[in-house]
Amino acid sequence: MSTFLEFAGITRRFGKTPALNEVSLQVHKGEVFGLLGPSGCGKTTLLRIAGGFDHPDTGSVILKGQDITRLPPNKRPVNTVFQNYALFPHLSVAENIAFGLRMSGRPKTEISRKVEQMLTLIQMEAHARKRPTEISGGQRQRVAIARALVNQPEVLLLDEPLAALDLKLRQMMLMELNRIHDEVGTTFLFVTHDQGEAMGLCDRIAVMNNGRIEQIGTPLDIYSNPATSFVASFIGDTNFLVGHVTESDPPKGSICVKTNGFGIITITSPEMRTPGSRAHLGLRPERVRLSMEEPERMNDRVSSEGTLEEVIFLGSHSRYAVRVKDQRIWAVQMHDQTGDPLLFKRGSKAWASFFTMDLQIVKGEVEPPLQTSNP
Amino acid sequence: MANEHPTPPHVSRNEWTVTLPSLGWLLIFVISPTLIILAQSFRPPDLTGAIGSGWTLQNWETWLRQDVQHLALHTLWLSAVTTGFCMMLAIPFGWFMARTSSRGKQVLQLLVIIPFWTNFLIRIFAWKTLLNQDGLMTRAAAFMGLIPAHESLLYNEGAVLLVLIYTQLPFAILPIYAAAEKFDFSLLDAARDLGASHLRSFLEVFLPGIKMGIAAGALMVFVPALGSFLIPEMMGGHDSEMLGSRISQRAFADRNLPEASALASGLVIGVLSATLFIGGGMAWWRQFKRRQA
Repeated sequence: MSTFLEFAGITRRFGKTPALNEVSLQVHKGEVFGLLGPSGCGKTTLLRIAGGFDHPDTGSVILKGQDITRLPPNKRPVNTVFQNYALFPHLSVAENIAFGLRMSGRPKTEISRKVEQMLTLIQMEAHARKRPTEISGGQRQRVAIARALVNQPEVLLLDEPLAALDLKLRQMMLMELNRIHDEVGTTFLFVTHDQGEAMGLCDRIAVMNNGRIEQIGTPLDIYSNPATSFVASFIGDTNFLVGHVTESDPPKGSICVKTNGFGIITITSPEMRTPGSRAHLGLRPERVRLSMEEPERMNDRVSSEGTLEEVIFLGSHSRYAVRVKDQRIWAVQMHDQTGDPLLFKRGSKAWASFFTMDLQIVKGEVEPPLQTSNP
Repeated sequence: MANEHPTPPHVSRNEWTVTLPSLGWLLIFVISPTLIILAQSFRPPDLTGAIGSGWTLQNWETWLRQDVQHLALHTLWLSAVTTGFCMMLAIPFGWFMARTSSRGKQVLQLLVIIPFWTNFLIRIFAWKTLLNQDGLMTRAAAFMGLIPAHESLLYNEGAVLLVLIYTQLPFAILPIYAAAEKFDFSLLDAARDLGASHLRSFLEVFLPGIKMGIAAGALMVFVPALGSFLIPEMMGGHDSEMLGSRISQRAFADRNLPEASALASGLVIGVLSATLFIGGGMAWWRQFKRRQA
């Protein structure tokens, strides 16, 4: 796939702090591309730059080979679904959808035909005459999408489109967005702070933090091979085993790390690490297995006995915090794996084990401790 | 939004007790004087300046006189022009006020309100000082070659309009600012995003968004302007008389209270029926459009 929308070296400062720092990324035609990150990471600023509501200090925005960096919003072939929807309260649903077509001076018959099509697409034919105040939040959201899509934009920009909806509705709208994307095939640039939304909707995701891009990849890529400690902790939960490098052997493709509590672990990595330096090994909680008995010893299996400090029952699964010496790691167990969920009690002893192939050596310092929430 | 839905028909007793004082105030100080004046307008005038006994339509016949009709039209025209200028100034000002920092808002609000701390008459006299032969504005205008030296800017229609606009402007700004303050400016981003130019997003999104403020402001300017009599009397010449000045002349100079009452009642009835007519027409139009859509 070729590059369709490109951000090249975008820097944007508000005062002294850069909201965006040398951000470059390429979006392909027809894909759903997610900008994911915590609030203040610069994702919304990047979207506003794409929409023409803000301009970068340096860098450029290129759409289909054309530099659109300085083009005002009304001259860009992109449309936005705003976070609060920004529907015009004095116009009906149909008039809202017709607004863009009317601005571009299309003939009346064409406008009414296209508005009809959009109303069908979002299944709102029965509500065409209602005012935005007379319809529900989910319906407003669909109208906002239709109002943008009816102009057949090259790129549809979505700013946290599901944030204002409750959980059930959000899941429904996620499916709805998927369906609409399948139907129209427009390129979507989607901003969210919710990793679940990003995973569920996007073909590719750029994880952003502090005005920089930490990693770009498919949801699976980012989840299973987080490039930095930030990505690892932001996307899902991750344990970080802290240790020191005892041996690094790039030709052999292995690094030995002496960890707290789990002894010396050898993992495959082509990277070079100075012996003696600190290293963090990322480990997803669902990869950790708990057992009452010591598991069978294997070459690539690491196990240690520890104490259960937390047991959180979550219905289909439970989360456990196990302390092994100075190291505390979280484990997630589905109840069908371990049988009786009441087997592991707080304060009791248990064995935690995992395979070395599930470990990732992560770049960067690990700052935030693993949260207990976010099951 | 909530104001689009009609209030429920069952108004609690509590609400009545809360409304009663203001209703009483209205009844005593607005409705009954108006009715007394209306009754007076059907009494014959007395040569001594008192109100005669018996009933007559003779006072109302003054409305058939051509000069009175001309005066009424001219008053309408001056009030309309005043309203137009006030709107043209107040809408951009209200926009700016709503978009500025909260500190700026406080300063601007203060600037709008400060003139009310000074007596109305004194403010008119201040304008007389500015506009007379040796006044600051006169000299400035002469210096720029706009008028010949030592020509007064007073006693003409322009001076009347200027001071009318000056006195009514705050009444236009405040409701428009209140509406603009509540306006969601992100709607303008949306309009721009959908291809609207700055002008079109202003006309098609901002103006409809503050239309209640505009309507309230226009009414607050137009109606008092219709009844103004001090400003045309003090600033105007013989060609810039307004209905209000005629009423005050009949009441105070000629001591013909019944005819003054007929003129005043005619004005009240005219304003009331126009307001009801326009309000009703707008409600009907909304209904019509909704049914048509």
